[in-house]
Amino acid sequence: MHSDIVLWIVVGTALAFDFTNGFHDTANSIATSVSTRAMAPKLAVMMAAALNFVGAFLSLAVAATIAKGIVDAASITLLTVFAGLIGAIAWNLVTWWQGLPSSSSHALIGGMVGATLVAQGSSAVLWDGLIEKVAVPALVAPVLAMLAAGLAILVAYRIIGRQKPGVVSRGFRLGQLASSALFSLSHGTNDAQKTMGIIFLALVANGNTGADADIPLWVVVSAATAIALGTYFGGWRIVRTMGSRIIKMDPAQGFAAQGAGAAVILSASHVGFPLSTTHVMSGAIMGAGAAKRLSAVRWGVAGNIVVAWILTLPCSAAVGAFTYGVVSIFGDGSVGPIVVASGLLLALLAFFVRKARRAPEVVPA
Amino acid sequence: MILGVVELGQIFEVIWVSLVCGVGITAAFSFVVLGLARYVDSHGGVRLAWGAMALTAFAIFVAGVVLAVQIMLTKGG
Repeated sequence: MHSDIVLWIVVGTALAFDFTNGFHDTANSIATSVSTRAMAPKLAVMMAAALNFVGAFLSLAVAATIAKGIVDAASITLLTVFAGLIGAIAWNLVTWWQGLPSSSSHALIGGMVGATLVAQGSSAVLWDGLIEKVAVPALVAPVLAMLAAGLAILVAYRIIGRQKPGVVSRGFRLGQLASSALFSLSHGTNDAQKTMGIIFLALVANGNTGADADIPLWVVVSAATAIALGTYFGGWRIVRTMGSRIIKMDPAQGFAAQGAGAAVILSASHVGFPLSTTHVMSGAIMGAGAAKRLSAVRWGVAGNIVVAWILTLPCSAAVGAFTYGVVSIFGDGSVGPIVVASGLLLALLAFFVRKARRAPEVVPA
Repeated sequence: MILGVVELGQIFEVIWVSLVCGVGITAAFSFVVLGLARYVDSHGGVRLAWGAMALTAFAIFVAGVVLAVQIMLTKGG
């Protein structure tokens, strides 16, 4: 009975994380299209939400890989999963509030590592996996995307030459519809499945299903719905940062950033090298700006984003570790998760009520 | 070649494929835009040639998108 209550709290928390993931990463798909006016903001989030939903159903093979190779699978319990999710949600909310694009996957990995460190000690953390899945991709992704987008926009400008700006802008805006759609679909196939994997892990850990069983349909549908809803409600603060605060971009730059970004992500996917969509897209936007003129990039904003990337793992790990510490005070039962989840919900409620009284977040017209 | 826990060959493959595909897909669509812009301003046979170039570049762009979706569908499988 106790473990069933814990299971459902973990499932609810995983879906809440999925929502923040969609909310946080809306910017990756639509920021460039919105800022170059290729699409109206409302239409852009609707398309991104729909394609994230569809993408979640496309390829279930990568589900359940998020914690694999990062922590010892035998050490995973419902409470460590819960604490890891809280760490990830907390970091996603903090970076959203600051308008900083950061990796939700790295936040989740950080949360899981922190909780596992406190629960089982450092021997349960697979440090090699952490280097392979987090550290190296975090270095490679932005630099590679920056290079690819920089080269792409230089080639595009050379091909276009001195054509009429109006025709060129309209053409690239149309191209952005395709590249934005591709990005949203790709995001759905990646990120919704991480939540499916987490819920599936929880079901296996609780004995509700076997490790070799298929992922239940309700898990797929609920994860797809949560990420689509999160995307629809879009984190406009991050959209603003990625769309107009890093560089002021023209439609050709927007298309080059999205096209090169998609090429980097899909090439990496193809060989099984995990790259963060957020790191790739941020790097691509910087590259598309820097190739035109180095001073076109607001390096102060870019520096803040890089600092957030560096802090993602340790900060979410710290919250995950702290959460596990608090939860374990109450023993193995459901009291700890109930106390922490209620506390977090109350804190969020108080925060948003206070914020709503001051000034509501404005959705771009 | 493996450096520590990271396979360098895999990283180099990601780097060169990303650069070729990223630049390639942008270049293809740039030719679509160039072809359309010149098509609007030209006449006669030249106009047809620009139109044909735009169509060919568009076909390459669409093929790239289809390949991308196929990679999405088969990844991790």
